[in-house]
Amino acid sequence: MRWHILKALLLKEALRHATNRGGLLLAGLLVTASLVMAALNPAGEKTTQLIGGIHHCFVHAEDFDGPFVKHLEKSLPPELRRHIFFKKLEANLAPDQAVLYPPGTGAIQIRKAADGPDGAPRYIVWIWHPAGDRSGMEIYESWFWREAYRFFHQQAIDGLNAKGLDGARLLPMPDINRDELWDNRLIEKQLREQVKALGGSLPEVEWRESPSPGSALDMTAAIATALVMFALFFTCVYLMPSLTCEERERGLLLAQVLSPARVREILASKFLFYPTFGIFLATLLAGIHNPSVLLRPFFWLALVSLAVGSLGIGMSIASLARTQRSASLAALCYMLVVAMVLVICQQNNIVWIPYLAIEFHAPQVLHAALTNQIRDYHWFNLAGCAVLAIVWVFAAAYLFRKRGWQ
Amino acid sequence: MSEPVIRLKDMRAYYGKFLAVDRLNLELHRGELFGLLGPNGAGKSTTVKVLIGQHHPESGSASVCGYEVARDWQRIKPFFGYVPDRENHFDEFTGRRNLEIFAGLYNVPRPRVMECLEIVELADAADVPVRGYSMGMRKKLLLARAILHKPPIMYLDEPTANLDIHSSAIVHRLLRQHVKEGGTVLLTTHNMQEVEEICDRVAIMCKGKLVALDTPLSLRQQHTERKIDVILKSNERLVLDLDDAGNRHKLADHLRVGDVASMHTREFDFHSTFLKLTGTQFD
Repeated sequence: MRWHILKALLLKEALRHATNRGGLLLAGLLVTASLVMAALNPAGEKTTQLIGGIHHCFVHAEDFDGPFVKHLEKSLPPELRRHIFFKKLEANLAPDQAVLYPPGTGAIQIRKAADGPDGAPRYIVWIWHPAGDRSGMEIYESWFWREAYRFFHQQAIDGLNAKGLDGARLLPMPDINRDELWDNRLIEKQLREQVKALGGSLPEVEWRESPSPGSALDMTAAIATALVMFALFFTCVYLMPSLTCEERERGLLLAQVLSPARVREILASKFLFYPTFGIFLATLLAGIHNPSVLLRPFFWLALVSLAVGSLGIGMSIASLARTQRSASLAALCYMLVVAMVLVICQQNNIVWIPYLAIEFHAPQVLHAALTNQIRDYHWFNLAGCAVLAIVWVFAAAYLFRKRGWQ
Repeated sequence: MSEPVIRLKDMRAYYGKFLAVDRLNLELHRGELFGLLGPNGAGKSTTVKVLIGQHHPESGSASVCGYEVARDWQRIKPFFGYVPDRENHFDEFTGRRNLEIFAGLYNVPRPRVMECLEIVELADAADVPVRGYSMGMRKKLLLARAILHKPPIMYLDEPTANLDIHSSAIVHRLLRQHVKEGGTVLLTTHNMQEVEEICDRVAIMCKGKLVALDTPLSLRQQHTERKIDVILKSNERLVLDLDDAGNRHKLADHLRVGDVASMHTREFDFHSTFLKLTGTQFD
């Protein structure tokens, strides 16, 4: 690498952007949006949840293979089928140990408790909801208590029948197909009292609820995350392929390659300029949202990983697209395809495909960094982001050397 | 004679299955202005592309200053300046800024930028964005860029296309000056008159093959018809072959008695020469 060549190439890139009014305008709009958001909803305030909503609920059961969980699985209504996931709860959890759930999710934990004094089994049903969004769990809970009633009602009838009583007559089925949460919860409780009065027994159910640490989706931080990601994608996945392809289309890339500049020097200048520009813009936006984020190493690691990954994606597009128009189109198509794939995978509970996309890991790590709620799994996301970034950069360098400048 | 600066040996180049250059053998020397003449698709531009390392020949070899183009491409790049047939400038920058960027790449001092702009008579437009330049100005800016680092070799693809007479004269003067200082120039053109005016040697190409290689004067001598068109005062028209002794005497007789109204020699006709050499029209 020769400094005079790198300097000339970097100067060229900077000057090209300085004369690109459209790009400057969009960058200005991003900063303005960030400033407006920061003025209306300072990050320090915790009342920043603009909209609620729990898109997924985990039914986390210790007795995963038991009849109760099987009944719940079978009785999922179609409208909730894509939103409720059943998972086995670790058996060695401490009684009060919290489980972390991703932002925008809640959970219904079914834990086993010590048997009651009469030897009857006891369960703890623990509702975990995002902080400040208790009502978001209502639809899931309503279904849960309704089906819990149906299951234990049948158990009670079977128990009474076994004692020679007419269980079905003694315990008629009330109207439980209503969506009133408190009604459903109440009649489930009343069932136990009725069964007890008839001399039967049902497992004891203790009901608890807690806000889940970290699962509240701070929408201001979510929008800030989106702006930071957009800044990096805009510079590295949109602007870079577009301007690089324009240079190729107009023969400017050839003119540079015919000068003493080596292909790797041209590549290096682009690899230096665009992530730097993107990181600068992203840092500005993140700093406006929450200046303290700039002191967190996790934020910088996340930013660098995403910038490098975006650069790899952008340069791959620039190498494959022939013209400026096709590069812009390819960048937009790429973003749309990835968004569609992630949504489809989320809706259909396909777990492994999203792990292959930087766009899956990046929002999680950036949001965690911006809200300073960094959990163990965010480090896994960061590692995933970094590995994918490296893969993309190598792919981009190979493609560019192979056919990019020609 | 000195070692050739550019040497093409049995060079064949394809575009897919299309044979663009077929077994081309060519040697260019120091201080030579060489013209590559031929119609569209003759293989001229492909030859230049091979020499600048933009197209790899399928067989044969191409060497510049003793280095194999394909193998030592990085090493030969500073040896040449290239003027493409299609202009490629940063339109949003001024002429001066365009050259400054390339001056940075070639590591040449900044004052050289203005020097080059003055050579091509663009000093007055140095601070005008290139998008405001005319076609001729853009072409001259290409030339200024090509001479920025004082390369010993210059490749020019149709350098005077779309240029007015004055600008063409600037280009010709500059190229002659370059070879006078020991440089080598290879230019491709459609224009025989241009070749005759400035080239030391010329190669005529057709369908990828070399059909003639000589000095413009020799080509003229070889292919000009030695005939004279005579119009007598009686309006009678005669065509007299100078290689025929009888015709020469007849012409002398007419001149002696003074009944010649006008007479002129047949000029070199490139198109008919090309037809004679290749069997195809020069389009």
